[in-house]
Amino acid sequence: MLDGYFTGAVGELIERARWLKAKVPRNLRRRDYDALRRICDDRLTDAIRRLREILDEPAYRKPEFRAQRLRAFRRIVAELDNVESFGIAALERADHADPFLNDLLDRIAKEIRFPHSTPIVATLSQRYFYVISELNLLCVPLAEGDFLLHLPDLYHELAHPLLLVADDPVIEPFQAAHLKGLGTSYDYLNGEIEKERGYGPKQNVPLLRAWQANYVKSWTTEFFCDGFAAATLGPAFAWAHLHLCAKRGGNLFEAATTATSHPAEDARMVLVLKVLSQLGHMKAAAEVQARWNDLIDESGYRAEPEYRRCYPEPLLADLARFCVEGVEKIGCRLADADSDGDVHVLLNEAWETFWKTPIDYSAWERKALNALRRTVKATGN
Amino acid sequence: MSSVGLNAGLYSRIRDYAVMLDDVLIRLKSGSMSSNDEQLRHLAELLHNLGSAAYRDVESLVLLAVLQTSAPPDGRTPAWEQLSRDLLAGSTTPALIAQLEWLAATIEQERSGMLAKMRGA
Repeated sequence: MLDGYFTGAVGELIERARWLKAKVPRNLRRRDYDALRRICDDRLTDAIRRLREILDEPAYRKPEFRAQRLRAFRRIVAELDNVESFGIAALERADHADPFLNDLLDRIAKEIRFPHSTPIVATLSQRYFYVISELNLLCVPLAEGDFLLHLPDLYHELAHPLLLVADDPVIEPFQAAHLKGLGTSYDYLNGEIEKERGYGPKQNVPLLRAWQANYVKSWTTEFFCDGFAAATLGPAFAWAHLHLCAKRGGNLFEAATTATSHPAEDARMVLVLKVLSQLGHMKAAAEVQARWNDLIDESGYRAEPEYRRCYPEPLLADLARFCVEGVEKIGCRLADADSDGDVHVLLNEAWETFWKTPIDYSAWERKALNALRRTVKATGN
Repeated sequence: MSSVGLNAGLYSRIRDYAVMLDDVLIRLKSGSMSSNDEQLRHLAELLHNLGSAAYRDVESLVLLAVLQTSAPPDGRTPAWEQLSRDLLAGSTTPALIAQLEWLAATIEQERSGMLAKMRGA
C-alpha cells in the first residue's frame, strides 16, 4: 500500500504548486502577458484542488481505486511540469523580453482577421517554433525576431489553437473542415487496408494502420496548419518551408513505418502549393515547385511507391480544399495578389528579394526589419 | 511546428479522455453514479461513436487511432455500442468495469507516451 507515500508526496507537490503560484509575477509591465498569468494561476489553483482531493477523498484509500489514484497523481505532476516549464518560464522573462515579436503577432492577427485571442510569443524554444495551445503560448528560438525568412511559420502556429477551442461558433467551421479531413484520410486508409485483406500480401496492414493512426493523431492537423498559413500569408510560407527543409530536412519523401508527428516534407509542400494555386498564386507556386525540384535533386532522395500510397495526390488535394474552405468560413483574410498589410507585404517581399539578389539580401533584411520595428512600435502593433 | 507543440495538442485531448474515464470509474465503482451524470453521458456517446461507422467526431477518431495498437486481455475488441448502452442503463457488472479499466489503462499509457514525446524523449 502506498498510502504513506501519497500522504508525503502529495503534500510535497502541494507545496511545489504553491511555490509556483508565488513565482507567477504580479504587476508585469507588459499587460499582454496578463492572459498567460491568469491561465497559469488558474491551472495551479486547479492542480492544488485536485491534489487535496487525492488526500481527502475516502475512495482513494480503498484498494479498488489505487490505479485511479496513481493515474490522477501522475496527471497532476505532468500538469505542474508543463505550467512550470512553459508558462512560468515565459512569465519570468516577460519584462526583459523584446516586445517586437508579440507586437508583430498582434499585427499579423489583425491583418488576417484571426478569430481567436493572439498567443503570447516567448523566445524560449530550443526546438524551432511550437505552440502550447492550452497556455496560448507560442515559443520560438531566441534570435527569431531579428530575421525574416522563418517568420512565415508564425502563421502556421496561429492555426493550432483554433483546433482545440471549444464551443465557439465562429471557429467551428474550421474545426468541421479539419474533421472532414480526418475522416477522409481515415477512410482512404481503411480502403487500402481492405484491399490488402481482399487480395495480396497481408504484411502491409500494420504499416497502413500506422499511417492511419498518424493521419488521425497529427498529420492531418499539420497539413491543416500548413494550409492555413499558405492561405493567409501566400507564397512566403511555401518559401519558408523550402528554407527549413533545405537547412534541417532529412528524407523529403519519408513514408514513416512507425508513429511520427510530422508528415513527409514533400507531401507538405504538395499541399501548400495546391492551396496557393487555389488562391490564384499559380506563377509563385510554379516558381516554388521549380526550386523544390532542385532541392529534391540535390538531396538525392526519391519518392518510393510506398510514399505515393501514403500521400496520394487526390487526398492531399482534398485536404487542401477542405482547409481553404474552413479558413474562408471563419472569416480570415485569404491572401491573394491584392492583399495588403505591412507584415504580409514585407514577408513576401523578403523572399522575392532573397531570390532576386541573394548577395544583397542580408543588408536589405536589416533595413526592412528596422523599418518594420518602427512601424509596429509606432502603431502599437 | 516542432513536435513539442503537435504532441502538446494531442496530449491535452488524451489527458481529457483519461480524466473523464477515471472520474466515471470512481463513481461507478463507488455506487455514486447518477444517470444524469454529464461525464457518463459524454463517455457513453464517445463509446457509441467508436462503434459506429456512420458517425464521426474528432474524439472518436483519435481514440480509434490510439486503440489500434492495443488489445484487451481477452484479445477481443469490446462491443463499443453495447458498452455504451449498458453504461446508460446503469450497469456496473464486473465485465463492464473490466472493459472500462482496460480502456482507462490504455489511454493512460498513451498519455504518458505523449508526455514523453513532448519532452523530447
